[in-house]
Amino acid sequence: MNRLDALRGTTPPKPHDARAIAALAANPGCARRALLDGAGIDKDATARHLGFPAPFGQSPFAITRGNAFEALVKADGCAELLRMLRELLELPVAEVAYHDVENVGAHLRHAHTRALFDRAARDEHDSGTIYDHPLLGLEIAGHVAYLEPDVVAFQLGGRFHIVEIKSFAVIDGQADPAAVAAAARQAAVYVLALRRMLRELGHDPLRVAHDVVLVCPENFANRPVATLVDVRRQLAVLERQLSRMTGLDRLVEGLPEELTFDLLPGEDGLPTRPAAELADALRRTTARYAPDCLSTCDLCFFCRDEARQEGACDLLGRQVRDELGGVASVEEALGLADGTRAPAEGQEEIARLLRNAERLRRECLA
Amino acid sequence: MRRGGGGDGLRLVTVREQAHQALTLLGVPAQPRLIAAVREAFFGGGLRGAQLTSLRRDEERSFASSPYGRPYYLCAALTDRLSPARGLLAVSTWPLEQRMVGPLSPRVHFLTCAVAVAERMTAGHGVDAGPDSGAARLLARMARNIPGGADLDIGPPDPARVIEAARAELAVHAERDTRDRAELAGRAAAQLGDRARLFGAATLSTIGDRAATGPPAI
Ligand code: SF4
Repeated sequence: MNRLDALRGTTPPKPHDARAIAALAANPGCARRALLDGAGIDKDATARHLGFPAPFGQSPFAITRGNAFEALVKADGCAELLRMLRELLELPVAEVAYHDVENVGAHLRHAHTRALFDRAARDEHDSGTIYDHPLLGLEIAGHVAYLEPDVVAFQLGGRFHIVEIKSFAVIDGQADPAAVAAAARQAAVYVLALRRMLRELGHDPLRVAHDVVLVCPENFANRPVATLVDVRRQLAVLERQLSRMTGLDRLVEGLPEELTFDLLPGEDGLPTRPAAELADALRRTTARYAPDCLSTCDLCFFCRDEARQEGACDLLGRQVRDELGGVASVEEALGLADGTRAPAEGQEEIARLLRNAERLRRECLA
Repeated sequence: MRRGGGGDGLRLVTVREQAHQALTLLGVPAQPRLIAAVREAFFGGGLRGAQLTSLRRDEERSFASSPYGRPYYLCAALTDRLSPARGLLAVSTWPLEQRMVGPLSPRVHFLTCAVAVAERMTAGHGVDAGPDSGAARLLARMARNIPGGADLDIGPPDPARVIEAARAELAVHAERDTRDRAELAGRAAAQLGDRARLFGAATLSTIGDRAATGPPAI
């Protein structure tokens, strides 16, 4: 049996959706997550069984608000969207052709999407400007995940732009950075899926722009405003992460032979595996907990608990963790700062910085 | 029988009559929310978009049990696949071309609606066209999405200016849209029976030119 399948054991695999794929790119350094996702393990069920259920799941209220905002952006022949695209991308007035892929039955939407984009990429005229509800496929670790971007705009000059409609507010040109980052990661998934589709159809994948159009309500009024977001970085991380998923062998190699994250579902589908045993199995893999995990990964409470017990620097966030490279715990960092601990080899530079910081802090407080 | 509140104490106007009035004013297929906004602006409120969602199905059922038993039906607009366009209502007595939706039609519909709303405002009709009236708000919302339709977001829009701006953009799309819709109407007339011509055909096949797809998937 395939080692990855063995990690999942008898529990059925869980398909990925866009949010899950986007989250992959949120914490590229985490081997635990890469293994679980690569093996198609239901992380949500795992976390619940461990007694650390994830804090998210969108509230029905937020979903309703999101849908209402999306309807507003697309109402009246996408009137608001066209205004924004004309302002932002200088879309010519003649470019208004609208195709709703959802007009075909669900089982045909993927084929219809391919046919429409092929036609659009082929002839420069008369092909279409806005594609609503396309259905894209992306292969993740051997399985095709189906994804639905909100809309795709086709710009004259043969370039495609992904449009991502989100209902978090932009106030005086500023939005919650975490929300924007999450939207960018998700949009990157769509860009990649569309690029791969164009490549399969024999077109230049780079005709899909790495600038995505993010549409949000402005200043609490429901008026939509569009911004271009460059998702090149998210794309790079995502591609690396995906190629890594296919190359999981290396990560698997380092694991003990008998290791499995099987929930051992009983006849009623409920897990029968002792939770403590499952937790031990998970601890055999290396996690890189960061506060960002709280909004992206089902296992966040489990990993946070683990990181706390270890006093890991990871708890302080990715930026701090990266700056404290080579220093594993908060305790160690404090020791280096007040000089009670001698720097190990390779820690000289960070120890000097920490001591300086500690001196400055004292001076400020004195 | 479903009754909508068409003005207190006045004759009760059914939901379908209310929608019919609004659609007749607009002259093109429209979404429930726009129909409700037009009702509110020019005929007094009371109609909610949600009341219209099941209307098309009710109408189709009525037509199926006694074809042409009513003077008009609120029916579907048809897509380029001759299937019912999602979320649009139309009137059965319109010429077939008027109920067809080509790729440019959603924009053409929007601009046509803006002209109709602005004309209705200039014509008066006892409409309260003050800056805070429903009609002015509706027009303002439309105007800002038409190039040259409004200067700034503030202040009431000038109906004459909206008409001019909307017509200018309409001129860009009209020829191709009319051609597309005439072609679709021809297909609908040739391929569809009475009921499907009003309420749309079931969707089965994908668009025609599959043969033109590129090399096989990698
Ligand atoms: S929550 Fe845990 S498993 Fe998930 S990404 Fe963070 S560290 Fe990795």
